[in-house]
Amino acid sequence: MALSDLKFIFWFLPVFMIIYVLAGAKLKRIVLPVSGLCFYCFGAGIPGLIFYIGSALLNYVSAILISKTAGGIKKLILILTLLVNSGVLLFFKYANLISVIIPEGFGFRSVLPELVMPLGISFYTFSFASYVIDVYRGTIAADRDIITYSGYAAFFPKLISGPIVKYGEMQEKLKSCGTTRENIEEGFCTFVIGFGMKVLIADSLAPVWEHILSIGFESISTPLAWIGALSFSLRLYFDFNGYSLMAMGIGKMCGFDLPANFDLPYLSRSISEFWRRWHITLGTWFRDYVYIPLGGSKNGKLRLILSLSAVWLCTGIWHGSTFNYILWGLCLLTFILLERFLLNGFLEKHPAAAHFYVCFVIVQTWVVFAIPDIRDIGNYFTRLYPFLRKANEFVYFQDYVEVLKSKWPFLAAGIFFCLPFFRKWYEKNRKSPVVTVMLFVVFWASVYMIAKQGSNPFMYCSF
Amino acid sequence: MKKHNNLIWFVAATAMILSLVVVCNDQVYGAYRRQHMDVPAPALVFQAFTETPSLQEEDLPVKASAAVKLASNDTYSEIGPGIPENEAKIPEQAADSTAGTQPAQQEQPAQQEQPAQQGQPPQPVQVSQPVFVTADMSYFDDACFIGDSFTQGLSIYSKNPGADYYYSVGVSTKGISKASFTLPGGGTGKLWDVLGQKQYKKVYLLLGINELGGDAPEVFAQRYGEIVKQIQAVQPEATVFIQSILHTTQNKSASSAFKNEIVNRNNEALKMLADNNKVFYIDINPLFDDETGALRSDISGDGVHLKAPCYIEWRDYLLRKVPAWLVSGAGTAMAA
Repeated sequence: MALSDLKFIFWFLPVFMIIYVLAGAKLKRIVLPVSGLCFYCFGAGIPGLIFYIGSALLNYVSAILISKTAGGIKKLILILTLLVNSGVLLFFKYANLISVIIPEGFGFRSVLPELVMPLGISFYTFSFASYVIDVYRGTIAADRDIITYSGYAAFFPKLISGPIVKYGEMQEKLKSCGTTRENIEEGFCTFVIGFGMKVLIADSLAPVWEHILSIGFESISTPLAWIGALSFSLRLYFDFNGYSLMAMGIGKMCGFDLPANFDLPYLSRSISEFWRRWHITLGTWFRDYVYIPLGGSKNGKLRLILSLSAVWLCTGIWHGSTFNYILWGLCLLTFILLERFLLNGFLEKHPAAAHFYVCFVIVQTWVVFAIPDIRDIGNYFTRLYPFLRKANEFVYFQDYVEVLKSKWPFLAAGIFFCLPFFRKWYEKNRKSPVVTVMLFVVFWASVYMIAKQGSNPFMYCSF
Repeated sequence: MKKHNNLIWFVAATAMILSLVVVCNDQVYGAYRRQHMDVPAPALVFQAFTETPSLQEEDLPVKASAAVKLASNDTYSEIGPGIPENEAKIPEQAADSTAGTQPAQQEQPAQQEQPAQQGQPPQPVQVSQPVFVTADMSYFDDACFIGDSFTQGLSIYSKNPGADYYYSVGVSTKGISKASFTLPGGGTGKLWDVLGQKQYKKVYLLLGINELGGDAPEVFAQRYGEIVKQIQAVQPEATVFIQSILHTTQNKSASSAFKNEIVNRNNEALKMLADNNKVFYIDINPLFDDETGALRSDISGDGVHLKAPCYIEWRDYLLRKVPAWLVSGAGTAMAA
């Protein structure tokens, strides 16, 4: 079950909200983890659930042990816990690669029936690791109360696809669970915006890439190649941002302020800035638990390069198990280093060029991200830059016309919502009837779209 | 006093109203609801509204009972499939785009035994053995292709401009009457409104990939058969070629609803529609299958569709599956 499933919206969510609101404070604390485990079970089944509970308990126990010990043993427990966490994550990412041919299409979904990656493991493992490390550092105290810990661990909005929440961000509200009418209304509006982004924009743009896949990268025209890259970039953003907003919205309805995952990333003026505005909770995690511990920017140039390299290698691996993800991470690392040492001055002085540079480069890095086979990436780039290789005899040079005819409204809408105008207007007019009517239409239009063609599962689900 | 954005209450109220509509209208929604138990009531209204209806009598250009009878037989099934699969497979790296300008070659298919019908004693039926020749590209000048996204692929990538193409991406036998078809020369329209305007000698049909797993194979084949009859009603001189539903790759078949077991079952049912006189069944799959009987994964980007170069091979394959009399200009196989 995903947050955009109709069964969630019309069955799970109303029942959960009614129980949560009516329950007394004590009961609320129990409703949270119970609902989370139910939600996870619907999506992952019993085996996934057992695995997940095991991971949560391991980290719970480990944090308590860490808080009770000192010195060498404390460090040892931390290292062992992190080794288990990362070992399990790496195992699931790479076992599939060894035992099955690389799946076609996106390459995100693992097709092997016997060994399916547990739902959300990339997200919850990082979440638990952050908890254990924060306890070790003394940033937070270990939570002895298994109920509040479970409320954090199993909070269903963030469970499967993030945001990656630190314990400290939920700590206070976990102790005194409660919500207000204001929270419920505001949260639901955020939820609907995310829902519309995902269903009306992202799901409508998804067929463009599928269409290009079906033709074969060697046989598309150059305009179609660029439209495809643009569509994929927009689809990825609205799919993931949409889902993150849905999670934030429900979090708000329950009285929690979950951290934002996106901050208009396509407005960035450097790739470094882009990655402070895209999947913010992941970037923050790497900054706090990899970059800064390794030395970051305060210990000389060599340390800087080392820290950045570690972050981007790990980011690539975190996103997927095929080699193109590592290549993708390395591409981003290259640009970020270039910016650090060469380009930043220029970019700061020339904002227009900077904006163009970011969009131009990022759209192409998503092409590397999207294609598992390295040769296919090469094929795609020969279509983006046709002077690299002559078009084969099968290219139909008008192929983009049909696509543009049917998809231009969604491309236009996608580009518009990447700009700051809507957000500014929404913040000012959040409570006006215009917004109410608009979001009402967005909600039911999205339900209609899903009913018409079946849910498009959230792309990041297999991470 | 703070204003409230009351969105959630409006949505909840609407959802409840829609649910009441469904529950109180059991004649309209009851059966649909029982078939789709996992769809929440508010969405059920939308889903029922958007489901493509079955082939309606009123949508057909000619009532089924008055349809032109098939030349030899107006019932299906007794005459078994006669198209042999002894074609050599196209090698993997072939870039075979040469048109079939070859001298006509006679292909004598191997003798086929009449398979015994289920539950009936073997019937001594005259099986007309099709004799195939190879034609050249001019063969397609009075041909048309009708179907779904595969037909769109043929129209764009098979470099066969002589033929006409009528396609509607995503269409199924259930929705064919109401679907919007892209027509030869651009423009869109309903199939039955336009198909009679130009007369063809050969009609190539390909449907089925968009309706795997809905109905039993016999039900699917029956709808398909009705469509064939309708085509013959508006194209009385045409020979209809039913092309097999294509397999999907192993991965796609294992991980999605596009399962090859269902494709095979449905294709078996389609074979029964052929009479090898005015209606032929052509199995395209040997051209693109791997050794396990699934679509080769190197020629499909999404596990279902074929990459662009394959459509040339497909066209040439069809040029080798031409009933002799269609090239020679004689009437039918059974002409006096």
